[in-house]
Amino acid sequence: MANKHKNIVDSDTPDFNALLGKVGQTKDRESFVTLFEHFAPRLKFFLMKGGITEELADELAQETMLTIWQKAGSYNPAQAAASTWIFTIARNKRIDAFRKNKHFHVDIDDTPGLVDEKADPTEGLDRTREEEDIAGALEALPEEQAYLIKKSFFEEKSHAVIAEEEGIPLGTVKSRIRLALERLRAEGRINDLWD
Amino acid sequence: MNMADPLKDSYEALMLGYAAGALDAAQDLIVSSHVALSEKGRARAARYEALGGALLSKSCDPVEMSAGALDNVLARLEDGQERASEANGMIFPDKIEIPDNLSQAIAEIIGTPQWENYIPGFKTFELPVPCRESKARFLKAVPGVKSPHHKHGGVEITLVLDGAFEDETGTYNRGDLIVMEDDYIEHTPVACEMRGCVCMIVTTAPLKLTGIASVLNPFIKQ
Repeated sequence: MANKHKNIVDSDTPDFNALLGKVGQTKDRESFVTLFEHFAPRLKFFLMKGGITEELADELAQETMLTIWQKAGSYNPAQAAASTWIFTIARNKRIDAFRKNKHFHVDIDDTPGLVDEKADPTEGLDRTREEEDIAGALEALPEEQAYLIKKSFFEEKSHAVIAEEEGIPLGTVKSRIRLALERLRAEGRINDLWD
Repeated sequence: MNMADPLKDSYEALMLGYAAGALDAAQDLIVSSHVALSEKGRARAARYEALGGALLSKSCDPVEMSAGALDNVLARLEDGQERASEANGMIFPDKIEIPDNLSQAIAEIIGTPQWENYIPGFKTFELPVPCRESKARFLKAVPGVKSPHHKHGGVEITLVLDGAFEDETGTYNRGDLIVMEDDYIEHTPVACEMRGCVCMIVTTAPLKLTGIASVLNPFIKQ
């Protein structure tokens, strides 16, 4: 299984799904440190892109890694690639930090009924592969489409806010998002992104 | 190429915003409730979150962490975890089952709600989610009633919690989320004959009115 996996993903890249699984199942510190060394600096970049100070981004990245340690037991590789799962933790952390009042975001991981426990663990390979495909397809998008998607995620702006800020008609923003998603589906081989 | 479908475009754009953490408190609440109730909502949220994951792993360059960062975190690994607050035992009117996050939000914001009279055929209660741009309310329609024509400005997001309603675009059941924006035509939702419909509705005023545009960029041409 390990060899098969190496063929699919860049063989220099650690298997983050597996490392996260080890942290969850056995509280393996070495795996956690590898995850930290890869993801914390990227989380910091991500958080800084949203406009907060380096110091605060550093702090939030640390908080995110700590939460990852605490919640890794509920990580399911069939549901999401490790970086997706980690992204959602950082996203929720950011929402909590900046909204004056607590947000009532449903936390899928805390809701056992919503996680499909019978899911096939080899689907984890598909999730990682899919994410690689998405990333590649994102880079290939026309500039005005990639820009909208990045602005949404990095700057936490809804399409309506982006339209208002950029002085673009709302319909144009939505069309560009739709076109971007159609292209991601076609080039990224993601079947159910847009049905 | 697919024809543009304004309702679908609005729904997909909203789900992307949700995955990106871009929604305001009221919108986030209604969408996360939709995600809790709907397999389609869960699948959409998961797919757009995968976009976030791809951006994190491929579009984020590493920025060096502060000197003691790893040690700080390692030192805290043994800390006790904050217990998630227990869901309050708030019972929604008519004993309709709602997701835990929504139940908790209602309990914290207003305690136990009660229906109040609204316009003929409708009862309501407001949920004052702390939020500058949007308002949330719950609506109960008696069977067969038509809601009056109104043109939407801004955004209106509706989540069906019980029963069904139908309009010229289709029939919507429990868990379904409908997003209507400025560019959508007038509609007349009709409560389903079988059972009255109970919904959560979040309305967001046009951004021009709330002054967000001018706050963010005074040089935008109007």
